[in-house]
Amino acid sequence: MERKTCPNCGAAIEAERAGGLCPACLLKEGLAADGTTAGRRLRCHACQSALGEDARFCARCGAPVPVEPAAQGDPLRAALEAKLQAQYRIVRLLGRGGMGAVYLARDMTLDREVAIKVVKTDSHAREIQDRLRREARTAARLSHPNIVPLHAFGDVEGMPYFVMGYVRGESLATRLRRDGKLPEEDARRVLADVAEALDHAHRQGVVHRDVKPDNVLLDDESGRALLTDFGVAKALGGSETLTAVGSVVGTPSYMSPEQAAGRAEIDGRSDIYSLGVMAYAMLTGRLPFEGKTAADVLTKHLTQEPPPLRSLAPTLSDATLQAVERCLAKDPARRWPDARSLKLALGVSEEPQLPDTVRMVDGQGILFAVLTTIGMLALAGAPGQPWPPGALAFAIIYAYAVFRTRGEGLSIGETQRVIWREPSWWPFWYPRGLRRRGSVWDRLPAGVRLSRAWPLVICGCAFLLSVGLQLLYAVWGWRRFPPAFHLGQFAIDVLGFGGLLALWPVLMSRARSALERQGLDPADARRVAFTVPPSRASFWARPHIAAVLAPVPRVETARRPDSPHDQLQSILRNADGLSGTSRVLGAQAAVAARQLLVSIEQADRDLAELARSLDAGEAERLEAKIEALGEGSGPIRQLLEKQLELVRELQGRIAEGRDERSRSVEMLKTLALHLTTLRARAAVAPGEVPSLSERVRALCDEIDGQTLALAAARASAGQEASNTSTHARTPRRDL
Amino acid sequence: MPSSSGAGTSPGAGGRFETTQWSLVLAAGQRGSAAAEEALARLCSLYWYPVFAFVRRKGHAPDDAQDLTQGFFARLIEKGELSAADRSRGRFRSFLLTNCQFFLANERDRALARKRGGGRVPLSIDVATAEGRYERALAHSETPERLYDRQWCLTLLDGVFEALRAEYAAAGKADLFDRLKEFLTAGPDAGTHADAARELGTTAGAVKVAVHRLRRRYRDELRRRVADTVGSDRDVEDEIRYLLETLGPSRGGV
Repeated sequence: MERKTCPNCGAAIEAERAGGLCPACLLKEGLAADGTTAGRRLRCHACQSALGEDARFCARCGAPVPVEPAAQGDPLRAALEAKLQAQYRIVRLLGRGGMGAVYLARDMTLDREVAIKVVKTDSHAREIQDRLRREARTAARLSHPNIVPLHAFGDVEGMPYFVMGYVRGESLATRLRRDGKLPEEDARRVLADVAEALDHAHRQGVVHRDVKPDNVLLDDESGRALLTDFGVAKALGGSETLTAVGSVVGTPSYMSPEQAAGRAEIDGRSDIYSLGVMAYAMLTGRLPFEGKTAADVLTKHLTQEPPPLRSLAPTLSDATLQAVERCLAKDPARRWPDARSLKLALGVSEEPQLPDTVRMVDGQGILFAVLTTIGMLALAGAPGQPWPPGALAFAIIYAYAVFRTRGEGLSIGETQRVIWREPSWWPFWYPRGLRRRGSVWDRLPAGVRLSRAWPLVICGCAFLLSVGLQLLYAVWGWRRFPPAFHLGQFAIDVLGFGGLLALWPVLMSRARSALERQGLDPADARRVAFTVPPSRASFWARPHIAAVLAPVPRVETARRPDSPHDQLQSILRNADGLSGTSRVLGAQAAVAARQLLVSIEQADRDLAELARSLDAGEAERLEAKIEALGEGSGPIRQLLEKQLELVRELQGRIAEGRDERSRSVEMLKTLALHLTTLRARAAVAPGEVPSLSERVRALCDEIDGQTLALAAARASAGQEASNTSTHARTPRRDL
Repeated sequence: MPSSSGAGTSPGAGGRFETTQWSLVLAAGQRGSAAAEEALARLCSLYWYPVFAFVRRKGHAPDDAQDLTQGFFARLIEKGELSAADRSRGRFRSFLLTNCQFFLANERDRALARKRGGGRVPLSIDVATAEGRYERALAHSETPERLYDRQWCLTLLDGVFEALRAEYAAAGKADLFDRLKEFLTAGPDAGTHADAARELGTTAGAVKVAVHRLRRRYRDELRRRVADTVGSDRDVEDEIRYLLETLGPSRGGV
């Protein structure tokens, strides 16, 4: 019989009694808190301050308290599975927290991944459920690329659950915990995305109430930030008061003063404040207000000014600084009036950031041209004005703009393109070559294009007419024309332009009613028909808006008759037509062809990704710079050489990828050819054709081997790429 | 009724316990009440084993010991034989022991080995399990009283562990409990937390929090159960210290 003694106190331990532990030590554990382990308090893993026993997050630094893992045989999951098995298959637990648990599931009807969030509620279950239901209805109406969509809502064993879109990536909170803070550019982009989301929600009358990094998800694929958990905070927090540290819904660190004061009437500006706190955290790596207790933090939100942003982030641009500081005003009336103005203030365009000087002239040409034309027309009647001052002023300003922009290293041609580019606010037609990237002009319905082009038609006519008259008068003199001519001109002015002008509202209303017939609500129809510029990609990307646009023209990806997809279809058709012993071979070929297509598509994606990381002529530019630097300048030259090396490596990888792709395409073609022959022969003389079958079999084996090798190579390269790609992409910004 | 009022108002660490099982029995006094009888029956069903061990240690054969134990509890529960002298000592543990000693003395005198319990068996004693445990516990040459105390202690802890395990199992976390219970006696050791985290597929931080919560839950359950056997919450601390002294060679650890 085996008897153990406790290494700590020497007491006897019996294997099957008291959980196989030392009974004396166990009893000691039960004594009142007098320095034994029982007296110890739970501490925050981030800041080491003491936590409340059931705290879900640290009241001082806001870090969430890690939650124990789910054990096997999760009853919640079992209950969910039982309830939802008709439509969803639960794949795995994504996370568990104080508020509940989130599972990854597959929607079997629509074949897509979803996240199912189960919320733990305790008291007033009925009331909370009703409120959650109401909020869920509101939240489900929100449809925006920066809002995680809500698909369904229900309850399982008395606990409400939400079926939401699944975002592959991490939360902003996780990113901040890992990286501390974000580069300004990234932070601005996240802010702009969340502001877009809030703008949309606020216009629908939905206030989030719990904007914080945990509720912002960063999509790995698109890089977008998405806001989640709309309405949950309101439903859960509506009737609860601040009773104990960590028991409030919503994190004190991100609460607006009006929320902290417990005011009932909270509007969108409260979310803007929380967004400001989040921005502060992203830019500085710390919260504006920290305190020992939640009450401390809330009091500071109400009474104190945060440490100046500039002191914590000296390199911040003025635009960002002002945008964030205005979010953090105590008085809602002094904050940004809405999320949209905040987004505009951040100046995040759909395109990469330009230097300030370039941004100043970017797309301003047309505005100057219009103003100058108006000036010239206004002065047209004045005698003895060979150089109308408007034109002169325009020329001077234009020359100055070109001069300044040239200073940023742009060529004359590039300067012209920047100045005459479509302004970001421009809602009308614009010459194709000068349109902004992402402009959807060509995809707009014909009626919309006509109504949007109409004002330009009027202006064009007016311009031609006025220039023509100016010329006539300049050559022959105004007095040489009879009064009837002037009367005629007046009639054209009034009737012609009046008619054109009167036609415009008709065109617009026709376009709008056509859009409404396609299912858009009147507000969106108006935006599509006229107000929103064709270049505002975020608006046009909204699913219900994109639905009225023509499909994206596929210039490069248009399938040629012998595209890999067609090859695959032909192989599948032929494989299906085989019979007898060849049927097995057909199935094998079909599998191999699918594998090939997958690897071709993967190669396409890889190549596109690599091409994005590399500008054409990058290596030549770097070489020229190194050349220009000469031998003497050590560190800069080394930096440039390092970059050149990275660029060359990228070029090498692109070349490899192309080779790999063309090999796969060749194999697919050969396979398709073999299969066509095989089927043709089989139709004439049934039975296997030994030599050809052999070739097909060998080819399939080869494809199989290659696919495996590629997958292995990709897996190992993935590891490497995660290390190098960040280096490979960032250095250009450092320059 | 001094005990119930004491239990109701006692402040401090144990202040949240309400009337304990044993104080309910004591308050009912000689006459008994339905609630008190039920409380006594529950206590007896929890702590019969130390009595059995004591009876065995007194030199009775297994079958006799089973009969005697059942007879003792039958008389106690059905006839409400509570002696005032024992009640004054305030603890269920000592009450049970003293009564058992009286009972055994009386039985010996009357030599009525076969008629215990009047044919009714209020407690079902699994003699095979009891014997197994008894044999394993026999290694020490202890006095019956000391054996009784030690078995009491282990029975108490068994009950705590059973309850906690059931609670965790109900939440689907039996594995978590089995893995983390060892942290109840070992000092907090970050390395071990990390090991547990690896095994459970989570972070050391989460394990730390889970251990902290388990420890608190354990402590509450232990103190609640001890409180059930003493007259008032104020005695919980003393009772635990007493039990601690009955255990193991090094008793000065408190």
